[in-house]
This record gives sequence, C-alpha cells and structure tokens, in this order.
Amino acid sequence: MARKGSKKQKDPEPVIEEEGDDDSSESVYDSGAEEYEIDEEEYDSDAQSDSDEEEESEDEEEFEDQGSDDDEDEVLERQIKAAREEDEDDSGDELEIIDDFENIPRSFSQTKGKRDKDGKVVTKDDEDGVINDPEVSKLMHTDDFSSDDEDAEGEGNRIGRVPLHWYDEYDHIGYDAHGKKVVKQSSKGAGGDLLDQALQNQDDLENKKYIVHDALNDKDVQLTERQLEIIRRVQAGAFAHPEFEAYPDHINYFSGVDQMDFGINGDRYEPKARFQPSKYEKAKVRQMLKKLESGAITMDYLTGKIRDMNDVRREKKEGEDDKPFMMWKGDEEDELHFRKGPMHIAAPKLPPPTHATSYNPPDEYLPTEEDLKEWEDMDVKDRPHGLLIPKKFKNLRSVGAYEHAVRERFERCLDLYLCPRVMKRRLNIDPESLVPSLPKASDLRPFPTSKCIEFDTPYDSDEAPMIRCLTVSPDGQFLASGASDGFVRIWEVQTGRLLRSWNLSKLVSTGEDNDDEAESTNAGPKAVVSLEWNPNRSHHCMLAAVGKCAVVIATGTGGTDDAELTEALLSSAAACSGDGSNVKNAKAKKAVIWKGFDNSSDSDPISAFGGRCGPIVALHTSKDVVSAKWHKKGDYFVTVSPKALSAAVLIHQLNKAASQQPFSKNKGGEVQRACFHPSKPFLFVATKEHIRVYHLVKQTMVRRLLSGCKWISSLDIHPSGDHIIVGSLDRKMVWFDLDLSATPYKTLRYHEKALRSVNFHPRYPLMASSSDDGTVHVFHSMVYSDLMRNPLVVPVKVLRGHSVVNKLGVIASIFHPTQPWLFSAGADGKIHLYQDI
Amino acid sequence: MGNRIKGKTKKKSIKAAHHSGMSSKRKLSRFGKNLKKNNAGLEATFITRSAVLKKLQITLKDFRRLCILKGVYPREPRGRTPSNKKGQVFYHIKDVKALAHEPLLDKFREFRTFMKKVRRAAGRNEKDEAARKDSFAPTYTLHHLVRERYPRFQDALGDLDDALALTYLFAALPSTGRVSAKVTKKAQSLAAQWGAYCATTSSITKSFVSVKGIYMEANIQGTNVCWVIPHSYTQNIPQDVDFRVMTTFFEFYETLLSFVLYKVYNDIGVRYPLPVTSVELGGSSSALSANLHVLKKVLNQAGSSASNAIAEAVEEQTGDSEQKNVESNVKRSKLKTIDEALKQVESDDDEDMNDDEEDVDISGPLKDALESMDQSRASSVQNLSLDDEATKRKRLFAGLTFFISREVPKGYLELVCLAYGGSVGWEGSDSPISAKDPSITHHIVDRPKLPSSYDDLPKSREFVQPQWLLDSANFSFLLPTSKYAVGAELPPHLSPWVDNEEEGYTPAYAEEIDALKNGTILPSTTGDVIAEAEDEDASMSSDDDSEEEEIQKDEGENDEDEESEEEEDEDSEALQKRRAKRKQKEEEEAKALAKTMMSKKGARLYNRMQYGLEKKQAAVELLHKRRKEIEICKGKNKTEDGKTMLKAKVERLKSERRAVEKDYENTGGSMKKKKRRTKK
Repeated sequence: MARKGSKKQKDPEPVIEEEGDDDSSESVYDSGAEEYEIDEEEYDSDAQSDSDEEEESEDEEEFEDQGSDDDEDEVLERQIKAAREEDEDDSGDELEIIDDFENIPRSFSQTKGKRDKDGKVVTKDDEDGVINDPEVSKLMHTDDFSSDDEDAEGEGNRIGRVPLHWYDEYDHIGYDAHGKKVVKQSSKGAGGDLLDQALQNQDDLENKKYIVHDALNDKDVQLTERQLEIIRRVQAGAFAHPEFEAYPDHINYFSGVDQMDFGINGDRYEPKARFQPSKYEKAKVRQMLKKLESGAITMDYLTGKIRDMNDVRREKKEGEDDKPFMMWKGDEEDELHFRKGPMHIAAPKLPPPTHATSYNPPDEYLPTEEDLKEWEDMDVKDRPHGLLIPKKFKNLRSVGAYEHAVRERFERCLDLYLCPRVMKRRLNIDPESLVPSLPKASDLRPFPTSKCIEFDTPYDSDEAPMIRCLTVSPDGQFLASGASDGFVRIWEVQTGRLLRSWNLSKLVSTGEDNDDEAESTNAGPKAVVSLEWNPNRSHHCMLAAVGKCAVVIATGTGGTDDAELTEALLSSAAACSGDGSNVKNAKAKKAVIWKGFDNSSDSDPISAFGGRCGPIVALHTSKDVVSAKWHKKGDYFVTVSPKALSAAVLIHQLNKAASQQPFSKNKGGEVQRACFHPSKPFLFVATKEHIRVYHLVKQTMVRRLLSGCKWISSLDIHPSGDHIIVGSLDRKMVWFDLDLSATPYKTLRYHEKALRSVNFHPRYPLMASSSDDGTVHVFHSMVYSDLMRNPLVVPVKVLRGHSVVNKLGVIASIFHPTQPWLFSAGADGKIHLYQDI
Repeated sequence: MGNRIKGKTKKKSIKAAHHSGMSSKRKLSRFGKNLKKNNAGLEATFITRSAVLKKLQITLKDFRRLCILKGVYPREPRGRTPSNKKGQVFYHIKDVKALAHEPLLDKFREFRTFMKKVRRAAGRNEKDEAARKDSFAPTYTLHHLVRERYPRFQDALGDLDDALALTYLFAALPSTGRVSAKVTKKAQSLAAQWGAYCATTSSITKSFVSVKGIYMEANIQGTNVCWVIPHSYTQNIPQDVDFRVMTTFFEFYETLLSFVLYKVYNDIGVRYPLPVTSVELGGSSSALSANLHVLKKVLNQAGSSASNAIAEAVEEQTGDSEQKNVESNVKRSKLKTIDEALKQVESDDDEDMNDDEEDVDISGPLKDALESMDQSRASSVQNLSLDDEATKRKRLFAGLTFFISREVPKGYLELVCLAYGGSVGWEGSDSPISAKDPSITHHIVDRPKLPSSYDDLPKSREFVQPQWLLDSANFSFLLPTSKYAVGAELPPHLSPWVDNEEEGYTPAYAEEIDALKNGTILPSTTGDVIAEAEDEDASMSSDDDSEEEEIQKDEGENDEDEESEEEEDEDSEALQKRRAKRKQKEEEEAKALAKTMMSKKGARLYNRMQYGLEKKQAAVELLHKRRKEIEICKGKNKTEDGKTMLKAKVERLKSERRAVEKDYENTGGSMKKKKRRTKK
C-alpha cells in the first residue's frame, strides 16, 4: 500500500484528471506523468516560449476553449499528431504491459459511429449531438503533441539508453537534467517484499488500477483509461488511437465553386444547342415511329412488354410461311430466253412408261429366261428397263409396292442437280439424204454392164495360172494376156479364140547366162507382169516384162505396109547380139543388155502378110522388171525395175536399140510405176507414196504429187494428159488434176481390198478400177475442156464375176480402145469381157 | 577494250535477254498476239466445283442446297477438255455469279451463326435457353426463285413432272422415320389439291398402271404433265438414300406447286387454299375426296353468288393486302356500295332493256367486278370453260355411275372416273352413293369371285375389274366388259404413251380394239399366223442360199432378155414382175454405188444411223417372233398339252409343209425351193 501511496505522491496528474467528470469538460484530458499538450495556436505564435512553459491550468483552459471551438482544421491536425505520438510512445513499453490487460472490458468495439474531434460518438442521424456518456469520454483524448519532451521540468532520469544495472550498486539511478542525482526512492522496489507486491497488485486490480513500474525513473505509473484503450487497440490490430478515422468522409472543400470558370474560354457563353431539344433523340424517335408504322415493332415492344420483336415475328411465321399469290399474270415474256449468260438447258424428262412396264404386259414383252440371265450380268444402266424386270400380274390386287420407287426417285433427284448438262443437237435427218444424189447411171451410157465373153486359159497344172496383165491391140481386134506361168497369149477379141502363145519365161531363161539357169529352173516359171501393145497403129509389136527382162514381141498382125514399118522398127533391135555395143550411154550400158532372139522361136504371123511374129529382143536388166510402158508414138518405152536403185527407170528407144538411164540417183524410195505423158515430154515416176513429174527435155523435176497413199500399185494418165488416177494397195483411188494442185482432187475408198489396176478409157469418159475383192468398179469420168468445171466422177457399175484366189481378185483390167468394153483378168485364170448391153 | 577488233560487232553478254532478231511488228504478224490467261476458253467460262466453293465461301452442303433450290446444274464444256481437267465437274461462271448474288446465301450464313448460338446454349446444357433461341431461327421464302426459274406459267408447267412425282412419293411415305410428319402431311395435301383440280377440270388424258406405280398424264393449258403415283403400300426405303437431298427438292417443289395451284385454281375462279377444315378431312376417307367435296361446294357457291365473285375481283384489284385492316375496311365499304350499285343496275336493266350500258353510271371497279363476275359465272361447276378435248373426254363416262369396292385402291380410280365425267361412290360413310343404289352402272371389284353379300345388290350393274376403267379411258371407248369380268383373265394392259406406229409394232390387243372401234372384227388369227410363220420360215432358210444364185441368174437373164422378148410377151405378167424386180435391183445397185461416193464423215454418220435403225427393227422383229411363238404355243396347248413350245412349233411347221407340198404336187407343179435344195 505504501508503494501505492508513494506512487500517488509522485504522480499528481492522474488524480486530478481521473475525477474530471464535470459536465463542462467534454473531453478527457490525459497527459499522464508528462504534460506535453501544447496548443496549436500557441505553437504557431510562439514556439520558443512554448517549450519552456509549465502551465497546467492554462492548458486546461485552452482545452476547454477547444471544446467549444468548432474549427475542424485544428482537430484534424491534432488527430494526426496524436496518432504519431502515440505510436512512438508506446513502442518501448508494450511488452510489459501486455499481460495485464487481458480482461479489460472492450467497450470500444461497440462504438460504431464516427467520432468527431472531441471523441464524441457521432451517429449519422445526429451529427451535432453531444456525447454525455462519461465512460466513453474517458477514452477520448486529444493530445496537443506539441513536444517530444516528456519530462519538461527536467526532473526525470536523463542517463539515456544505458543498462540500468550499472546503477545497481548506487543509491541513485541516474541524473536529471540539472545534473542532480535521481535518488532511488524505493530501494526496496527491486528486491522488495514479494508478498507485499502481490497484495498490492491484488488491491490494484480490485480498484481497477493498472500500475506499471517505470524502471528508468524507478517509479510506479498508473495507466489511464486511455492508455489502456490504446493498448487494447494495438493488441487487436486496430489503429491505436480511438479518435483516428481511417476512412474519413470526403469533405469537398471546393463545392459551390465553378471549376470551369478559369482557363482561356472560361467565361464564354453556353452554346445554344444546350438549350434546344436534341436532334439525335428526335431522329431516334422518328425511327421508332417509322418502325411502328411499318409494323417492325409494336407498342408492346416500346413499352417493354416484349423483349424481342423476333418473338412476335416467329409466332406470325408459324401460321403463314410462304403464302401463294398470283405469280403469273399471263403477260410475261420468255425471260429465260433473253437472259444473259449461258442458255438454260431444261432437264430431259423421264421417258414415259412402255408396254413392258405394265403390270399386265402383253406376253411378248416378258423377258425369257435367257434375257433374265443376260440382264443379271449387265450393269443396271445398260438393262433395257433399268431396275425394273417386267412381270405379269394376274390382277391389280396382286401388285405390291415397287421395290425401287424411292431409289429411282432419289436417283432422278441426283441427276437433276449433279449431272452435267449439254445441249446436243439431235440429227433429225433422213439417213437417205446423206447419200449423194448422183446422175442416173442409165443416162451415162455406154459403159460395160455385163459379161459377154470369157477367155479360158489352158493349163496343165492343178491351178489355173493367174493372169497378171492384159493389153489390147490399138485396133481392138486382139487381146494379149500375160500369165503367171510365163506365157504371153494372144486372143481374138470377137471370138475368144486363143491365137498364139509364147512361153517367155522359158525363152528368157534360156537366153540368160548360165549361172542364172539353175536358179531359174528351180524357181519355176517367171510371171509376165506387164504387157503393153504398141500404141502406134502401124507398129505391130508389144512389150512384155518377164523376170529381169523386158521383151519386145512382134505380133504379126499388120498388113503388108505395117509389116514393113514394124520390120524397120525392130530390125536394129533384132540385130542385137547381147554384147552391149548398141547402147551408147555408159551408165545404161551397165544396166541393160539388149539380146535379140533368133528366128527359130518365131511362129506364123496372125495375118497373112504380118511379117515376123514372135519375141524379137529381150532387154536384160539386173533386177526384176515390173512395168514396161510405151511412149504414145511407139518408139520409146520405159521400164521399171524397183530394186535396181539408180537404174530403176530406164528409157529405151526401139528404133535405134538404144537405152539411157535418166536418173543418176534413186530418189524417194522404190519406183513402182513410170509412164510417159501422152503429148508432152513428161515422164511420170510413181514411188510408193509420191508421183514425180519430170521434164525430159529440160531434165528437171516439174512437180511432185502427194497421193496420201501408202503404196501405189497402179497409175494411169487421162488421154488429155491433165489428169492422173492412182490406185493403191491401201484401198484408195486417187484422182489428180494436174492443173489444180499437187494434192488429190478426189480420194475415193470404195473397194474392200487393195486396188490392182486403174484405167482410163482412151475414148469414152470411162474409168475402171480392179481390186482384190474380186470386183471392177466402172466410173463415168467426164473431163471438161472448160477449166472452170471440175471433172465429173460417177460410179456407174460394179462388175463381178471373178472369184478370189489366194486373196487375189481381179489383177488387171483394161478398156477396149474403141468400144466401151472392159477386159478384166483375175487370179482365177479367167479373162472376162464386159460389154455395154 | 583492247580485245575488241574494229568493225566487228560487240558480242552480247550471255546474260542479256534473248532477242528473236525480229521487229515487234514482224513478230506480231508471224506469231500473233500473246493470249492473256483466263481471258477466253474453258478457264474463262467454266469453273470447277471446288473453285466455286472457295469463291462463294460456303460448305459443300450449303452449295448443294443452293444448287437444288436455284436450279443450277453443272455443264459439260463444249469441245475438248484438257487432260488434267478430265472428269471434273464444271459450272458455268455466270451461273456461279448468279449464285453469289442470291439472297438465300445470306440466309444460309445467318442460319449458320444462329446455329452456333443454339449449339452453344445446348452445349452449356441450357435447355430452356436453347429452346428459346431455337424459335428465332431465320426463315426464308422461295417464291422469288419460282419466279426466277419459271418466268412464264408455261415454264412452270413444263417442269412439273418431277415436282408431282416427288410430292406423290412423299405423300406415300410413312411420316415416322426419316421424313417428318409435317412434310408428308404437306405432300398429301398438295397431292390431293392437285388431284382435285385435275378431276374437276377433267384434264386427265392418260392413266396407266405400271409395276412402278400409276402413271397419270394431265393436259393443263396445253402442256402435258405426267406423274407417278406409287402403289399405296408401305414403300421400301433403302438405307443409302439421302433424304436431305429429296427434302430440299421437296422444299422447292412445295413452293412451286403451291403457286401453280394458286394459279390454276384462280383460273377456274376458286380461291386457292381450299377451305378444307380438319373436320372435313377427318370425315372423308381420303384427302382427295375431302378436297373434291370442298371444291365442288366452293364452285357451286361461286356460281350462285355474284357478290362472292365481286369480292374476289376487288380483292384482286387491290392486290394481296389482307394484312392491313384499313384496306380491308375500305374493301368492305366498297363491297357494300357495289352490292347496292348492283341492285340498282339490275333494276335499271329491268326498266330499260334497250339502253346501252354506258347510260348506267357505274364506277371503274364495279365494271371490272361485273366482268369478272360474268367470267366466274361461266366457270361454275356446270359449265367450267373446258377445251374441246376435255369436253370430249368428259363425255366418255357421262351418265355412268361407278361404285368402287372396298378392296380397290380408290384414289386414282376416283380421279379417272370423275375426270371422264362419271360419278363415283365407295364403301364408306362419306360416299354420296350407297352400294345398293340402283343408279350404279359399274361396280368395280377386284376379287377372285363375288362374295355372297353382293347377291342382294341390284342386278342392273356390271361387275368389272379396275383395269376396265383405265383401258376404256385410254382407248376413249367403252370396252366390252366381258373380258374384264370378275375372276376373268385380263387382257394385257397397254401403255397409252406408246405410239405403236412409230414403234413399228402393235400389240395384238391394240389391234383388236382398233378393229372393234372401226366396227370390224378380226378373224381368228391363229390359223393365218401359223401359215405365215411357215412361209416366212421357209423363205428365211432359203433366202441366203438363193441370193447368189439369183444374182447370177439375173445376169445370165440380162443377155437373154432381149432375144427372148417376143416369147415373153405371152406371159406379160411374169415379164412385168421381172421388170419390176430388175428395176428394184437397179435402184439398189445405184444406191450402193452412190454410197461409195460418200465422204468419210457422211459414211460414218450414215452407218451409225443405219445401226440404230437396224437395232430398232431387230427389237420389233423379236417382238413379232415371240408373239407368233406364243400364239402358236397357245393354239397347240389347246389341242395337246405337255409339249414344249419349240417342239410344238417345229412339229406344226413340218406337218403344214408336208400338206402344202402334197397339194402342190397334186397340181402337177414342183416346189421351186425344194428343187433348189436338191440341186445342191
């Protein structure tokens, strides 16, 4: 108790303040042992004096003044300062305090309202209300925080921060500001009676006194209510000072002041637009009205009864989705037709049902078992009725649903939008109109129509020899034929009688050199491949090609005058002995040897004074001769031996028994045929594909005709000399108009097999071609002298009658020189004469 | 520099651009202009499908739908396609441009975004949200496409075949499963409306029961429209059929049909969506009969009340504007005035009949209304303005009353009966005629024999099978019913579309009916046929052999002809024959020769055509042959049974031949053909 008493003595202030419950003091003034409250105003005015002042009473007065004073600025500052003070102040002592304040009633937490500067609890409703609760007001405190100096009088210990145990041995505990010793007042304090202390403590607790020991000054300090409150707050983690407002109301210090009223345009007038109705709003309203009128929105939408107009629209749609109206008024144009872009192609309609699709078709439409089998293997598309198989139902009730109804409809749908469409013009023409209308054959008479005479070739072997070539005497009385057995036979045209025959093959082979003999006998007879009667009426001889030889044969058909002429023509040739002395040309000398036959092989002349009759001379060449042709005048002739390279074409003169080789080089492949122009000095040389025309005087090539054939087999020149026909093994007959161009005027393909010979009639406008298919086609071939008119080629007759032997049909054909008759010779060994009947 | 020799041109660097050494003009004249790419030809006019998709930026699915609705189809480019583009599908670039401007395309896009929203909601398991959004699905109409694709009504009629066929198919499909009930219901109603129209205007021209279904053809304003009605049984639906394609087609066809129906109904003075209530639908046995019933009623009304017609006329004048109340009010007031005016006019007419119409003061709309009223009066049920053909058709069953038995499919038969002027009754509560009605002339039954319950029916009627109806209609001739009696074996049912003359083959039954029509009755054919067959057979076998001989012989004859002319005078008939023969031969020869002069192209074309003709001829000949065989077989079957067809035929032929030869020998002549054979 003594201790307590002493404490009280040392601390006069709490006593004073504790009982400060008078009404006038609205706040609790708690300064503790130290008085540091300094008035703001004083501080401001006189800082020096302030520090030294000791004024309790004054303080109190001032405080009271403050209470009445409403100046908020001061309050605020004070609050801030107090907060700072307290924070610093409590930092050192806290540890000791903590234990003691566990059970202090925590009233602060219940005060929710804000506190104003006087620590009053200010509720929202009653701002100006005064707090009359003394308990609460005790807690409140306003410090003036004027100085750090707790011990203004300088009576406190001023030893600083030194360990206190240094003074344990002394009776003082340090020195005050004046240098005086601070005497240990209660030396018993430290090592005092513990029992007393405990009692004391108990007493204090009962009296609600909280006393702490100030070791520095060696005195007990009783904590004030405020201090306790602060401790509690710190412990609770709140702001230490109850009067501190963490979130004060914002005080708009500038309210009522026009903030815009400064700057450059601060004093300008309000714009007019601010006083007028908004144009934007007007537009909006107009829009809405318009929508309202058009029915896009309704009043319900505007008043907010409907959230979305889609809801309404949807309901409407349910009823009427695509209501029909009168679409076609009847005055429309065919827009599809006029529309730009690609033409519309309407989908083809499905074909209408046929009898076969009937549920009860006629019996003949029902498929047989073979049909069904065939259909099974077919693709569905190729079947005549598609998926449907015609079936007969006895009555309507037995007909069920069609199995493929959906599928067929589906496939039709697919076709409609997936199938590429194309406009195809259907040829709606009569096929017969395609056949060219030709002039009537009967109007183009005469031409050979039917077989009249058949010349039968005698033969010993099993097979009849093939007749390879034919020729007719210029007067048309005699026919000569060359056969594959090597014989040349002369026939009388009128009667079909065989007049003479010579085995040329034998004659030639005996005349040939010995080394060839064995070969020739082994190989059998050589065929006579070419035969031509001398076109000169007074020269009664003909030309044959056998093996490697060309043979001139005197026919002995002329009268006395002609016989002399012929004799004159042949005499020099007949005199040739085979030594080659007759040929002047050096090149030709190598290529050909003229060898005359002796008279032993001669036979009786056909006419009484016919002169010599039989082979006269043989022209031996190095290779096989395929063609020998006279010049129109009957003196010159040309032979062709394709394999003989540069000596393939040789021109011979019978009168002088001379030969010449016109070409030094073989050009354009093997030469097939060669012949003279009837009136001009031209030589036509046919290779496999082309025909070259040479000028014999100028010795130049005039032109080259392109036949377009693969293998030319025959060639003939129109008597006028302006047209050429060419037959080829690739079934073509080509007509060249020499005045026109180097390409064919006409290419005809009517034979089924290769063409063997083509001929013009020397007088009539006729033309014939013979072929391996066993037929001879006769054409009416009118050539006009008018250059503007194209030649007229009309087929008039197909002559048949020859049979095909070993794939060979009619090998040779030739017209009668004066009559519209045609001789044809076939592989069957027959010669036919067709006449115009 | 040092290397350069004076006078020599400087060599160009190898890097320098190659110069042809020709001036630009010369180059131009020699090589022509460089063509710009994609300026002409295939590239510029056609576009592949994948390129289209890229260009339009839509999915293939959407593109297909668009193509179907818009009627765009791929095209085959003219000329040769480059090898790298073979087998590709090409669209014309202008078609694609038209697609790109199609408003539907926007709708598709809109729909896609909409579906995104719904799907999102559904994905979040917000069912009510998804359901709410679902109702905002963007919808579109297709009538602009109808107008675009078919600018004229005739165009639309021309393309109606597929539309009707698909509609009838959908109408026959079960509404459960892959086709929604809404679609089938719509299809049924459209089909019924179409049928009702055709029956009322009697525009059905052909009808034919095929295995595939019932084919019908109607002549609508000069255009033939043909469609198939599936047999009314459960249809087989293959799994691999994509119904989305078909429903898209139906979507368009539905719109097309509704507009066409509107037009045709309007032409007979009936407002198109017929007021068929569900009560009527439920009460009658089929949608068709309900429609027919309503149509009849409406037509009767139209005939009786003038104001009705006027209302329509006025409505037409003001256009399609029912939505606006204001206008409808105006209409009503107009109607009133018109009615009043009408009364006035009538009274005026009564007073002074001789007065011209001009004297009567009537306003413009009233005049129009009166005119249209006259028209609509003319087109009432009694005298619908039918063309001559239709009236002719209508006369066929006029006065006849048909009763369709329960087991017979009623729909199309009713259609045919009505179209040809008959009246129909059926077993059902809604039938206008009861089964016991004495007016019934034909009772259509499809049973093996008549049930005993039919015994007490009046005897005035004939019982026929349904085929009788169709055959009679097709031949436009009331056929004798004996062949179509109950339980009888039916004569073949022939397709009315086949032009027998063009085809080159006329079935026996068609010949028979033709004869019936002309009043002649064909002789019993079997005997003749056999003789013919024999003849032909013999000639056929000898033909090949004799041909060559004949040729040779003729050639030989040619020589003799002139010499023996005098002798031949005696039997001038034979001569004439020979001459004719020769002439024919000459002609043939000339033709053969002319053919040789044909150009390669012409010859090829000619041969191709000949091939086609020959094929057709061969088919016809096959039919003839089969028919003969069958007939012979039938004839044989009557006498002896148990032998095969071929055997029977051979035997028959042999016996016939023997008999003929005997006869011939008795007369002293010899069988030419036989002789020839022995010669060989």
